Amino acid sequence: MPYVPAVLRVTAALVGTADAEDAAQETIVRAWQAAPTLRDEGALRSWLLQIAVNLCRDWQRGRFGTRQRLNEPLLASSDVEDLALIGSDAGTSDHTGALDLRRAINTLEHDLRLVVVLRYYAEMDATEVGAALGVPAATVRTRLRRALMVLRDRLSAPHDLPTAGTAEGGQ
Amino acid sequence: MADNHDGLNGRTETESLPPELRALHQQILADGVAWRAGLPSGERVARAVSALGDRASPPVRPRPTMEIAASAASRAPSPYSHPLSRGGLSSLGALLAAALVVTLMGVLLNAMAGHPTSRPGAHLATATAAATGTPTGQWVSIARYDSGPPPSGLALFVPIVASGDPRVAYLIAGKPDGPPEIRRTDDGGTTWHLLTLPGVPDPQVIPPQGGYNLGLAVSPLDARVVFLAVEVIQHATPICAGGSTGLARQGGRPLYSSLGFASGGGVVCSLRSYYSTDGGNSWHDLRLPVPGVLGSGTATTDGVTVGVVRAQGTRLYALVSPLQNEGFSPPGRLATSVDGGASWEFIDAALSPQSQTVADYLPVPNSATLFALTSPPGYVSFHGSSWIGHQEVWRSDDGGGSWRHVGTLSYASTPSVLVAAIRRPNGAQPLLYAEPSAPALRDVGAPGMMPHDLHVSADSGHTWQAAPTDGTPASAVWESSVPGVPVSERGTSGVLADGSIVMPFAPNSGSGSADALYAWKFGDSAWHQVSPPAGGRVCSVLVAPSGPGGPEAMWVTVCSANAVAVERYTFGLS
Repeated sequence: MPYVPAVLRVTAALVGTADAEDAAQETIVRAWQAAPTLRDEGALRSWLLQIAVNLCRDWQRGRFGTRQRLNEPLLASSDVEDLALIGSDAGTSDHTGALDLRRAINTLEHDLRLVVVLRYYAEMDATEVGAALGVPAATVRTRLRRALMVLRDRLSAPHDLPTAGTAEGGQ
Repeated sequence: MADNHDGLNGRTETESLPPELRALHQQILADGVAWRAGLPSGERVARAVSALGDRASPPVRPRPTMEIAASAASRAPSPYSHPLSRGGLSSLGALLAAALVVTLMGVLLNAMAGHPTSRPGAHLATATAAATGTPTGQWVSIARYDSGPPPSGLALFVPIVASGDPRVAYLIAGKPDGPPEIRRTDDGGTTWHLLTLPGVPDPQVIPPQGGYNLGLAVSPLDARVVFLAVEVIQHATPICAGGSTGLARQGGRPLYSSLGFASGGGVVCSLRSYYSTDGGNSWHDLRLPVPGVLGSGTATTDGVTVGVVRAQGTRLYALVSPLQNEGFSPPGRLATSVDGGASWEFIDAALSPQSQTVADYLPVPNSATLFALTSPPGYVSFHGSSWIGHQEVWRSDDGGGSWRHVGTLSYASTPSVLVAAIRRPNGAQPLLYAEPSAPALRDVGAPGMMPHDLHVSADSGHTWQAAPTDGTPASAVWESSVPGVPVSERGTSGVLADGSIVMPFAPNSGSGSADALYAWKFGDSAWHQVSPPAGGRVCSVLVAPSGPGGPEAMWVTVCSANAVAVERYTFGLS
């Protein structure tokens, strides 16, 4: 089954590597349950990834119990999901400044960070990201471009990076 | 590294970017490749897939027309009682093949029924609809919990309102960079008291990746009787899942379990359960038969959840999740307390030899009858919710002293929850309502993508029939329910005095539309609206019975982006 790694990438990007397998597993279960609703077998990968994204966003909204870990950012709102912080828990590139890059990504506005994480780390294309988020692919490309511009500016002045968790956008 | 075709003029994604952004684009692509190289292998996912593959196909139920449904209901048991054939599938490829087969089956069934997009039709057409006309009452705002004062600046969680006195509520909350805390209000949210937590280390000495998790439940008999579980993490959370179990004892009685040990020695995780009779002002060790936590559905790496406490007369019932070598053992054991919650004893000994664990239970009011839903070993672990297999229904008429098997819920791809057990007059069998979907599985995909449904048994769990969906709004997304959690994120149903089940649905389509309450009872052919829309999306429902304190009323929590409000609807008010 070629789609499990793709699902795992999405869940790792959105809820973190520690919970990635749990969330991927749940995605598969939900897909299995919802299989009768799948009308177009050609859309299977996109459909699976959409379930994964929805599940992870629910996860980050804290819908899985009245609890909160201290080592994860607490939400300012129960209806606004946060994203896992891309960090050094998974592999880091040889690029100098990779950690600065991730730090900058983690401080992006929520909508921008979401498309960056899904595109570059979960390796979804713009069409898949758009389908998962319910926006046109063109909107995804626009957000990606805007995110790149913000990142470029921040990386050129890394000392100005805000602290993750107090990012703009009301995370 | 992937540089996708952007679909525009044959250019690659990089080429479509302004030159000044291309290098950064390539840099993030490269970092993505490195990040993905460090991801988990996914072995556990593969095991889950194998478990799924042991079942031939996902649950699918026929969608007959109204006429077909009525006759089908009379001659055939519910979909629960028809085990799916097993195809011996053992791979995700087979899983998906099965999914596609079922998809085609669904299309064919819909086409045959002439309802290409319809939801299941009326499955119980045994009586006329109990239409009540337009509700004339109004919602009254009782309390609102938001980011304003007090409790100012706290991350918001849904409050847990005490069914014994809805003016009392508990709120687990936390500051963005601090540990969680518990506050209590005795006046519907006007003032709040910060509670002192037992067994919690000084936040100043908690390591960066440590901390603690809290779980809370309130006795339905007394708003000031509170059960609390504190899981202390002195290292990164994932470590808690490993290692062996250690028990701390006091006077020969196990007090708490350590879930893991640091490689260099020392406890990294521990869990301890507490009990308070004064609203959380002071705490005592909770006396459970074994180390564990009051509640169910707990996972090893995901903190604690204190579950539902239900009452029957002066007795309390709850599930207990014992701690075992590999962490919790979901879903749990069934226990009772006859001293208001100070101590507990198991009442499921007769079920244990069957290698069953109790997944849910319900006491029938004003009787000694209990129903229990059990699961065999072997589940897909995720918050205790994604269990694959069938469940057994058991009945006890002596408060758990003895049990007899009454039925099986097969087809349950996730654990069913028991929504209500209702005593009927003249000695008739109690009504038992169940819903085949765990609370964690709501809001999947697009609205309506996976409608949940309600089943009822009039013979104590032997046979089951699906409730109709007629009368609910077309946009309704059925959410699963856990009764007995009066106001929490999990409770989305209530039971009226006449035995009707109450659930929230949005009468109008569109995101953000407010929910109204709808009711249905055994024998009705359709649901009917029993309240005007509340102030927003209803997260939970509590039905307060009529009595000296006033008429029957429905309490709900309404969840919005930045606040949770408690509202009350009293019948007959205008």
